[in-house]
Amino acid sequence: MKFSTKVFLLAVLPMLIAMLLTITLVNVQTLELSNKQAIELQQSLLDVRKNELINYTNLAFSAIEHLYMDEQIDKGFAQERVKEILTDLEYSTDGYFYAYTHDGTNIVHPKQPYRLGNNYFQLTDPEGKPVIKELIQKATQGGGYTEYLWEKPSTGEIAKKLGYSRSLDRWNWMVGTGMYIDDLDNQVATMQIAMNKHIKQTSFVILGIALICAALVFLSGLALQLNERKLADLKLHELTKRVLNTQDEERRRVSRELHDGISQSLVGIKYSLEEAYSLFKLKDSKHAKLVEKSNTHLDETMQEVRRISRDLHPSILDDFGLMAAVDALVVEFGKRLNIEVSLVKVKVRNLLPQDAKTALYRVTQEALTNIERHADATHVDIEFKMLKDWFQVRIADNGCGFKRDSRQFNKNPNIGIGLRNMSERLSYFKGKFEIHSSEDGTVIIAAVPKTIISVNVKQQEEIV
Amino acid sequence: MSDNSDKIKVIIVDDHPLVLDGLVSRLESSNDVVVVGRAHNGQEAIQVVEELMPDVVLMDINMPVMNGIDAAEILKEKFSSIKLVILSMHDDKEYVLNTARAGAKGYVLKSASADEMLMAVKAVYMGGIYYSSAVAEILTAAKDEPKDDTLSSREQVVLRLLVQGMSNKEMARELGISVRTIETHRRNIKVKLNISTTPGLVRYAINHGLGD
Repeated sequence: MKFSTKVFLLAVLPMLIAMLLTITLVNVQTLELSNKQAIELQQSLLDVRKNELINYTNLAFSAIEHLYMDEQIDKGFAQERVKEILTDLEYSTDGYFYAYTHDGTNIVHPKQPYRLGNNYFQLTDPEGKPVIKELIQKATQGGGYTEYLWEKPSTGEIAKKLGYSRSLDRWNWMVGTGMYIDDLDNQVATMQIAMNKHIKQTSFVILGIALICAALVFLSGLALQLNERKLADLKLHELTKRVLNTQDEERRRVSRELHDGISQSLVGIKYSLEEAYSLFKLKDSKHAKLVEKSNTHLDETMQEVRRISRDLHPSILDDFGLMAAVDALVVEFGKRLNIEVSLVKVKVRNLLPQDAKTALYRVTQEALTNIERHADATHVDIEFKMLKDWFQVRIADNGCGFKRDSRQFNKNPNIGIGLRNMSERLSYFKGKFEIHSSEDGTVIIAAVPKTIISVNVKQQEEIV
Repeated sequence: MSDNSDKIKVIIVDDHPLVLDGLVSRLESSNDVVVVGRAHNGQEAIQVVEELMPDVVLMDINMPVMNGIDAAEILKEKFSSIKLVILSMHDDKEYVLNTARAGAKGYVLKSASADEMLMAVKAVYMGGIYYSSAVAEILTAAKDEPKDDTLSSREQVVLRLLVQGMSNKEMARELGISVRTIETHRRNIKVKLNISTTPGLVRYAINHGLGD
């Protein structure tokens, strides 16, 4: 699985799910809360209206009290006066008083005078509620509220109304007033819409934050991985350099061990055998022959050991330096392949430390091997040169180059490895490695910084 | 003990004791040769030679402290009359040619027979040269090749001292050789590098990392 997929599945997805759950939960709960609040608001607004109604009714009753209560006054006159007072009493918009007899006949109605004298005991509102009957009922029970639908005088529309009715028992009258409460519903609805809008906005904000967080987690995960891969690459690079260098060092050590140790011991043994042979030769020809045979075997063994030692590491490189070693390499290469090789050497010797020497030797060797295998060249130019800051070798051939054969180049990993090895070897010394390839041939430039030389020369001086 | 006065006095230099012993017994099997001293590396060889003044030195190339090539160059400078024969495992061209340039009069492979070694000692003692048959043709083939103009170790030392501002006399004292030898070195350096002036040499040396 790709790392980005992993990050998504393990970090981003759970986070998104959690966030979505949170958002849903918050949504549901705030909606519930807003509904509850709406109901409470409606209730409290209603309570305010109810209070007002009682206050207005009290006001009206105090205005008619003296007429109603005074038994001295003629009942008919008093009733006529009360009718006038109630008809004139108005408050705010659509606030008025009405009166009915307990049997439902209208006595006062300032807004709908056509009702006067008519009986409405059976009158029902559009929802089928017997309005007058209920109002009278509430009044005779000591005063109460009734909710019903009634025409609104200011607009002429049917609207929800809260009525309050009280009884004038002595006259068998019911006096009532009412307030339209349709605006109440509107208020609550507006508030609910505003709240819902707010909830929606909050949800969007949370969702936005969640998405940003998820993106951040995802990106930082990728960045972390990128960084780790970079680190791993760096380590691998370091390791390759070390491996190459250690390999060179190890080969050199084994080669030396073979040459200086085993080879020399074999030489010593050979000399002893020869001495034994010359002693046996006169007295014991049978044993002498045996010794002679051993001597021949020993010669073969010595040659074999020497071959292995030389294959592992060219001793010329240690004994005579890079130029001599490359010279030998070039002569052997030219002879074997019939390719013309020109070599320009640097005239001073013992400049480079052993490992840098080996690295440049191996690079040259690798380059020649590549030329032999792939370049199809007839001429090779090798030039060692001291530049201002670099000690450089330039290997140019007139072969077919890499590009023309790029498919083969990609298919054959050995070429890539060879080139990479060259580059790794040099990077160990903070050196330079360049390849320029065209149809006219390939140029390889490898260089080590000159600072290596001065350090090495100084160390030599300390030894001398 | 027989009288050694008319025998060829030989010093053998090899860092490997087993080989050293074998060589000594090989050479001493002849009545014409006497091994007067041994050394285990180039530096020791120069001391022993200075002390014992042999006729012939048989020396290995690869040794610790100072190798056979550098020692050969110094021996040639200081004791030009002493004949040097290189003893080596290597039959490569580089080995043969470079030791010849360093002043060796002979080159014998370690795998060669005792007789061959004795022949080599006698040949160089008489003023001739001797190369093992396996390497002799390398030398002949190399005659046609252009002369190698790489500086020798000794020439490089002189060049380095020159950069440090030493006069010929100071160099001669420092290296324990004659002023004339120094002059020869300087002449050879100029020819090899194709540079005629001293400032030019100094510049070249510094450019090649030989200065500070």
